[in-house]
Amino acid sequence: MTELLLLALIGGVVAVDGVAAVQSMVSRPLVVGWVVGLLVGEPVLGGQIGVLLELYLLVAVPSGGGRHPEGGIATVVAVAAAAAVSPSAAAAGLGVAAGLGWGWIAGESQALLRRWNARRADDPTHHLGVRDVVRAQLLGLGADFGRGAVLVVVGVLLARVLAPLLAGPWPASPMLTWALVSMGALASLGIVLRGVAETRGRAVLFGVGLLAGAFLLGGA
Amino acid sequence: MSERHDARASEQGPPAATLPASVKVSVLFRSLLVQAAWNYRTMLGTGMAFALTPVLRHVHDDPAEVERAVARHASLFNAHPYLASLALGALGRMEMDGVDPAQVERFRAALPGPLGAIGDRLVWAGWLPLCSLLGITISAAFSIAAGVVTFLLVYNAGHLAVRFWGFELGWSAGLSLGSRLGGLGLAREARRVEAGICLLIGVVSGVLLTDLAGGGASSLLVLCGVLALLAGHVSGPRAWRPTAWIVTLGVGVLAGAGHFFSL
Repeated sequence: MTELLLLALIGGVVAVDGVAAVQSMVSRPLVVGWVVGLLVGEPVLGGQIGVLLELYLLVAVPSGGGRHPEGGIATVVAVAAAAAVSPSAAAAGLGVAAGLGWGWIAGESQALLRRWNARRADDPTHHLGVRDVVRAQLLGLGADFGRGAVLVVVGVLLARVLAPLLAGPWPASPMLTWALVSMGALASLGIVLRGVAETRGRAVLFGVGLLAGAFLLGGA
Repeated sequence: MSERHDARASEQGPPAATLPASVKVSVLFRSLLVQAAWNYRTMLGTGMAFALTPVLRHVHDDPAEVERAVARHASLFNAHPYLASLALGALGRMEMDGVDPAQVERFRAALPGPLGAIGDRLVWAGWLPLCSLLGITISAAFSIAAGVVTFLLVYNAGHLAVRFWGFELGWSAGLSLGSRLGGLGLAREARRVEAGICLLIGVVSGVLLTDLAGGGASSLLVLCGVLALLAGHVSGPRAWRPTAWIVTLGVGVLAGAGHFFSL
């Protein structure tokens, strides 16, 4: 129960940090995966899932009014799902899939919140005064925090029930499961690369990095 | 000589008016909440009015005038949240200088395009992925904790510097902010950041592909990994959703297939 409350608190904080306040990026999957992993006693698994989801969501940034999967909430649920079946070979696969799916739901809920915020921000009956503005800000923050906490509680409870059912007869080896989720991360890296590798010089930089990563850090 | 001096003075904006440190700090703290009530009608409008309130209270003695100014600033406004501090500085300065509200409104209407475009390229498509990939590289080289701490420290050093610098620049530029933005060389900085991203994408791709090579059917998996990287590069952003769907579907198929056979 205490763990679930702490996860709900993390959910609220990462929801607010994602867009509404500060945007210090403590809500990025890289950070959330490690923190939640520590909390549920699976720091390595949490870190791995955080890194994978970070790579998936490199292209999903909180830009303007665009709808995007919400990485922070997604990662809390992803790590909870993976931890529920650890050390099964299914852990990384189920974690990433749960994160991607729940991230979309969280993103849609953010769109609903933005419509709800609009009611107070643009009242045609009168001009906003100082009090109205402060009220709109506080209600927006509070609702965002509550949204994150509720989404995490529901997501974690669902993950804890469903993940063991799905992982039970898992047919693939840990390597094959890891390969499947790594392919998505590599595709995401390719997408980001397309946006920045415009010149031959940058292609050379990519090549140098590839060799350094493979020979100096690979297998670490 | 005098004309040249006048031109330079006009480019640099009017001499800086002073703002008490407590007011400045208050605006900067409030600017962290500029998106607290983000919505599809006024976007950052409410947050801008909230963040500017300390300046408005400092400038206007009459509470009714403060209310009118807040109402004006709560209307539709959009910008990158970090670069909104540029607008906050410039708008605060204009209020301080007693600029005509109609001119302030025209200024507000002209800012969102440049501030959104610069912010998206410099921060969302530049600084964030760069720091993120740096954190992942440090995670691979040392530990996940080291990667996370590095990511947060480096990212937020840049993030908070942009917010502070933005307010100072906006305040000193006032109405001439638009012309000052063009001379900052932000596009050159963005290109440098993008070069760093290229290098780090290479590093992280190398690590992932080497991990795949460690598996049983190594060459086939590495080939699939290279193809995934190429597919993303060729297809661009439109490939992101299908990628997420394919991976989720793949996991679902594995979960279902487990009931019948083992790979």
